[in-house]
Amino acid sequence: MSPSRDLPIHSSSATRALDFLGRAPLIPGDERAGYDTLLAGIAGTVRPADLIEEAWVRDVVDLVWEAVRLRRLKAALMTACADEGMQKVLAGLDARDTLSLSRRWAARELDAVGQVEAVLAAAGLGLDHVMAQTLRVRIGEIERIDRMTALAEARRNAALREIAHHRANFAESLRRAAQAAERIDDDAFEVVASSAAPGPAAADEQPGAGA
Amino acid sequence: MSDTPRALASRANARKSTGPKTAAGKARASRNAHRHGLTLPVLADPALAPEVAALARRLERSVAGAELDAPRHALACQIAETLIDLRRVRLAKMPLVADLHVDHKTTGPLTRKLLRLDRYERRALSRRKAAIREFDAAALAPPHPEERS
Repeated sequence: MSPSRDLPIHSSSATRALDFLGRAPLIPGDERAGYDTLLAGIAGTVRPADLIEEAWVRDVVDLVWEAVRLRRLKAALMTACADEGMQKVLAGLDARDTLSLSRRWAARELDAVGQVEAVLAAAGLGLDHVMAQTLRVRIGEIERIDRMTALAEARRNAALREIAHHRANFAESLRRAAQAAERIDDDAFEVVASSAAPGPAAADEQPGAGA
Repeated sequence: MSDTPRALASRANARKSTGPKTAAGKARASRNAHRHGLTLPVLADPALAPEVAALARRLERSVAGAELDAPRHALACQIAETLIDLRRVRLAKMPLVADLHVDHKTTGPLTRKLLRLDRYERRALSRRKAAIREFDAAALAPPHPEERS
């Protein structure tokens, strides 16, 4: 067996060869060029040698992409839900009409922003307290996003470990194959030497045999 | 059994509501309990099963440089099955992931759904790892002395 270790990475034929992995996990808003650059970078570094390694490389790229996207989602969620945290803070300060005020504050309406800042300043509070309340309100989602991020990172590392394991196996098999080939050469040499050992008559027929 | 007008009417109405009658309706209703189909093995899915053997052959040629014998082909089929299974799980997750980034107010139910689907991905990854290790051990093993002679 002679494993083919020279699969092209980015040619169109290689893309067709990898169709079994499915399409890139891009959603509306994702930058295709960014994903392709990441894929090219990681594939160029790892240099996958067979379809199994290609699958792992694709895993690594997809998982890196997913982890980055989840971190962005977490930040966006905190920003998008800041009005909920603000409402909690304002309610704790006995402010009036907290729901409307916090929503208008989130919509950056100038009078609401000024009103909220005055209330917070009077209580010695700031945006950190608002974000802490937002986290408290959305802790379930944040915790699940963190868990998904951690899973993506753990799986990315596992894929890299599996590539190393696969390659170690491959290297070991090459070493064994080389040793086996050497043994075969030795055997062949011995067979040729014993069967072709010329007798006195044969030796006379071969020029230079007596030398 | 009660024979009041109300009971009679109920029984008559119930007889009118015994489920779909046409073949198309029955086919549709047969999938009422179908959620995502991820518990169904790839080989039991008529749309995916034929892909397994072909992908296994491609894997063999890619890793070993040639098509392998039946026992090792069976191991390659296991890998192919897990690769297709993973693709299927990830495809099922994509619409949820897309929705997750559209409306942050619905993040709660979507993250719960995604984590429920994640168990299928975890299982597929675990099976893929075991299948590849088994295949590596067999496909890259030195030829048996009898095979050499």
